[in-house]
Amino acid sequence: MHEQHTNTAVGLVFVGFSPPERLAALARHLRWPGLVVSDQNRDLYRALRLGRAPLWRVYSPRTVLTYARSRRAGRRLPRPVEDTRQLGGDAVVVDGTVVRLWRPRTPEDRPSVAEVLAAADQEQRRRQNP
Amino acid sequence: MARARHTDIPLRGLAVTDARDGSARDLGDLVGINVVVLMRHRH
Repeated sequence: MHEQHTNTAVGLVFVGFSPPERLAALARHLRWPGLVVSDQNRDLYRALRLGRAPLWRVYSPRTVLTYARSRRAGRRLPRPVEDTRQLGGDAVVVDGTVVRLWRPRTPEDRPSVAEVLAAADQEQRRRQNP
Repeated sequence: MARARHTDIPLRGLAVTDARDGSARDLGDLVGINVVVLMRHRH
């Protein structure tokens, strides 16, 4: 997302429910320029009523195949310690209030980056010209 | 594709941890306009 983010008046916040150190490593890998926060209790996920995907959506045939290949290659796969069914989401927040929210129905059901950034730009214009 | 909903959900009191320095943060303190991306589980 940040590669398409050009409006410096709009901040970027990355939220995950992994432990902070794992999220910090991921943010470094992604070169995420904004705030990175860990919500291990998933309080924000609950507040935004973000759902959980059905098992068959999370473990698609492709995912199962990838795991099977890894196992055949002798790689030990760590058991997930997090809720693998938790869905993500996208939001535009204005002064601490969520004004626009995208709740996916499946893991891949996310809006385009352009759509989310355009909504944020729209909120900014609305703020400048009430 | 997920569709945008107009909402009015205050984040005051939602405590999270800044992953970079371990400090506590209240998402209600976010000032100005922010895009918040909530990650799902990654395989």
